[in-house]
Amino acid sequence: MIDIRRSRSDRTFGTLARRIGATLLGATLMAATYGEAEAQNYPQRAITIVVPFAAGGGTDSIAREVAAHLQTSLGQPVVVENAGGGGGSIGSSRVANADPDGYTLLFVTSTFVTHAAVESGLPYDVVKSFTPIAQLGRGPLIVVTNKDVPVGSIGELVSKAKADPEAFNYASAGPGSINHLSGALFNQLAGTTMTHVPYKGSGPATFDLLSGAVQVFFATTPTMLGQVKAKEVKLLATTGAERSPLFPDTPTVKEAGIEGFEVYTWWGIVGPSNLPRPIVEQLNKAINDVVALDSVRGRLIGEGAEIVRGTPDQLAQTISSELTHWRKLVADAGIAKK
Amino acid sequence: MEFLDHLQLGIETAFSLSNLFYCLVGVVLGTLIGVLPGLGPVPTIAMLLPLTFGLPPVSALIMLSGIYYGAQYGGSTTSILLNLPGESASVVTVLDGYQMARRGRAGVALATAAIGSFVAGTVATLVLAMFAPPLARVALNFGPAEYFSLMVLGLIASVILAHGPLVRALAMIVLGLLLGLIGTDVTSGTLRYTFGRAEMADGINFVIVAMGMFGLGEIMRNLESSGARGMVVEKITRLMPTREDFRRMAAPILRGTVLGSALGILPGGGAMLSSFASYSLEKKLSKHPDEFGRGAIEGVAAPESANNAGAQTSYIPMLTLGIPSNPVMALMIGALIIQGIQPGPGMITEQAPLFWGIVVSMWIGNLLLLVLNLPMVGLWVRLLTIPYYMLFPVVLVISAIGVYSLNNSAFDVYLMAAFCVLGYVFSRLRCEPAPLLLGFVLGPMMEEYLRRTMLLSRGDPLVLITRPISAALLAVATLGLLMVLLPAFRRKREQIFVEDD
Amino acid sequence: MMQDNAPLARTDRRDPTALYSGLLFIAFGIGFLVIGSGYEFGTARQMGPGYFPRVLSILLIALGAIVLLFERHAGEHKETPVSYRALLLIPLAAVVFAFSIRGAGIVPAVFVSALICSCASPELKARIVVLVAATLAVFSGAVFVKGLGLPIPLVGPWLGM
Repeated sequence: MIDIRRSRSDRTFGTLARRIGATLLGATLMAATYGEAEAQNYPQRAITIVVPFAAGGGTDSIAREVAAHLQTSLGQPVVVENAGGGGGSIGSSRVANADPDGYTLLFVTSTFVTHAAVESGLPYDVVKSFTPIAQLGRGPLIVVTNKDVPVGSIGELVSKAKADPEAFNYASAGPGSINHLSGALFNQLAGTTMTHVPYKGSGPATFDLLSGAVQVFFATTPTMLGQVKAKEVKLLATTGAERSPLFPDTPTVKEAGIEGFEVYTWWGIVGPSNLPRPIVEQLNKAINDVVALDSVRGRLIGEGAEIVRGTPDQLAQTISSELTHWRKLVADAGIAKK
Repeated sequence: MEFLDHLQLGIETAFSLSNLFYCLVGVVLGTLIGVLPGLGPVPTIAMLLPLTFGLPPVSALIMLSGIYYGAQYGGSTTSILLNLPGESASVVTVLDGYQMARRGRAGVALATAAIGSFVAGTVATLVLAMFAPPLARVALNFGPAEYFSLMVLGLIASVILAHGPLVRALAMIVLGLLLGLIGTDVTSGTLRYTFGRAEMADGINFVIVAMGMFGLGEIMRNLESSGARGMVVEKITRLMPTREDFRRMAAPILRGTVLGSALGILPGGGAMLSSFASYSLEKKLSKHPDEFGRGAIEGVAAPESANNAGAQTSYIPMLTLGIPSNPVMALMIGALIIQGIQPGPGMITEQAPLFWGIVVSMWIGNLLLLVLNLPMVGLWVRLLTIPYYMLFPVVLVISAIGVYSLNNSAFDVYLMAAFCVLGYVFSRLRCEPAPLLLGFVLGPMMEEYLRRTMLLSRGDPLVLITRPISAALLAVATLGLLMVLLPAFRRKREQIFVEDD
Repeated sequence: MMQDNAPLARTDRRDPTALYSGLLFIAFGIGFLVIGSGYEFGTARQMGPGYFPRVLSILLIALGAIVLLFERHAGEHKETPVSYRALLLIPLAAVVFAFSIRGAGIVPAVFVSALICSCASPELKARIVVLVAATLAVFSGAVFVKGLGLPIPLVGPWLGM
């Protein structure tokens, strides 16, 4: 007992001494040089990547794979910490409030932005509270229907939905999800009035799509790939600017005549705001290298996505343009949350 | 004889030395996680996922499956010994399992759980092997209306489960339903009763409520008077069930298996209902329903079998349709995708060795669990001979770590402390926590399904009775309600004359 | 239905737990009703987020009232005295754990919270309590952090690690 106490107080004393030392150092050196020195030695201890979703989702598994490779290239443990809940806002605000030292990072997806577009009172600002580091990849959504629904193309869907305004329901993984916003955007641009039916995640939505309770689903590619291949659902279109290499024979929604309809999901990594530039550069390079690895690239491409190896500024660009785009839709369609 | 060919293929796959090894690793790891309450299979599988990248897909899935049903299995151990249910299915095991432990029959309870789980696992594996694709089609007939009616039936079952004053049990159910509504409303996205706390936006995790009200609440009850002695345990008489015990557990195990296998196929919360439903069924069928809640062996045998059977058949939607019915299944789908296999309707034929290998390994896993755990019963029971003042800090610390690890959130542990006090207050007021927990689990699902039903029917409630399955379920629910209420009224009259308790 | 009992009330002793539990249910019902009053009620087709909360709150208040007014339990119900020490220290131990886990790390957090909750037992043997707490702290660090890899520091930043 005494031993324990002594060693603990020793340790506390050690910290104190180190703290005083650091303060003195900070006083004599310029703050910028100090930051630079820190950055040069980065990373010196374990890095935490916060995944703002519960363990086990598709995003989580991509994050874990990236983390495992980053660990090898950075030479320090890279730990994935799940902080799920609140549509990702819990994990995001944790990182927004973390020290900008490069040891706490956030794994973000398109939800990071769509959630901010729909939800007003978030405790952080997706642009101002974070430093973009690197985007990993992006992929289009796919538009699928139940296989017994008598439509074979986007054009037919639009005309049937206009003829009978009550005939179609579209499923989503929840209010404010990318599926929901895509459906709302579609309704807006095509002039249809399909009913939004929200679910708790993509799994239950898929189930009701297969059973025919709902007819249409603007789904992320991995969730429906198996169903599409087995012809359990009908694939009407993909939502990118160009056709997906995974389905070269399937037109895009744009091609089918819905001008301006272009939706992507994407993944990226950001840090707290004011992250020192050298650290951002170092991480950006490391992440871009990981994305280029065969296993990561192969996986993203297999899921219908394309890899992105861009600068931090490109990610910043993506975030702000998506935010503007979805905020406008949310305002126009009146789907903001109270 | 196609089936036998397939079976042979599965046996060849699963019985390879390396796959047997991964199966063993999986079930041992799963049991360990299950025994540490709160630490569910999901975070563990998520953490182990990168390790499986290097394995062949079959081995990876065999190991992950082993963790899953090993954890289901391990969960019953702490429920029986320490009144600590780590997952919703274990709440029912607590009711009679813990009472058996207090009566010196912990060994018998643990053995019963092991045997019931094994029988159920064996039968459910056969069901999975023979009927998976057609059963998945049956499950597709369950729309929102059917699920809503099923939840109503579940609520009625939870009334049967109670054994204290009836009206208080009803009130506890309603309170549970209300607590279950906390969080983001699935349909509109509105935050309800979150007091502006982001941590509450996804609702309160079931484990927090269960550990607080059952586990920690029980510590406070034990410390009330007898502090030094702690939980009163009668002398442990024997470890293994007697012939009489076997006779009593046989039928409940079979009925639980059938019920669990059937409900497990439904991805929208069916598996969760199976243990509740089978417990209520046994209580209704029993010649001595008053023993339930006081250590009836049927009350352990039936729900444990149902739980395990349900866990096994919940693979059906994943393996045949590619749809995850719970977070563990979602993880397994993730593992398959990483391996380059797209789960979906084509998987059984395209990946025949994988499918049949997993099916056969499930049976092996269940056998391993039985063989590993029966000898452990004696060891576990000895845990109860540890002085209570040494035991309860362990329970508290492990619960706290388990709850913390759900979301790496301190707030969850504060909530657990609050539910611990609430649970204790209610138990002093003779209000049982079990009905509240059932309401808590069923509430949000009931609301979600009803609202979706109405949305899809454009506001017409008649779909609930025009759709045949839904109508049948509601009819059974009505019948069940009558069965509960009529004897309750009768008893009420009798109670005035006869002093009970 | 309950009024049938009324003429026989002379044989009853009023169950005090009925009074308190009835009041508690009514309080919860009113709480849920008041806080939930702002949620949109909706229509039959599109039930709002306020539909279920309101219906259930009113049901809870009604059930609480039945318990309060009509429940008489004649049964013999022996109650042991409440251990206020346990009522205070058990939740406190959990709170201290939660408060310190991120800052102090798992080993100190477990050690301190185990010490606190051990004090809830009337049978206090200092040496054993410390021993149990220390063993538990080491065990937790080894199993949860080292073994299962939970993202918790063994000893956290508060103690300079």
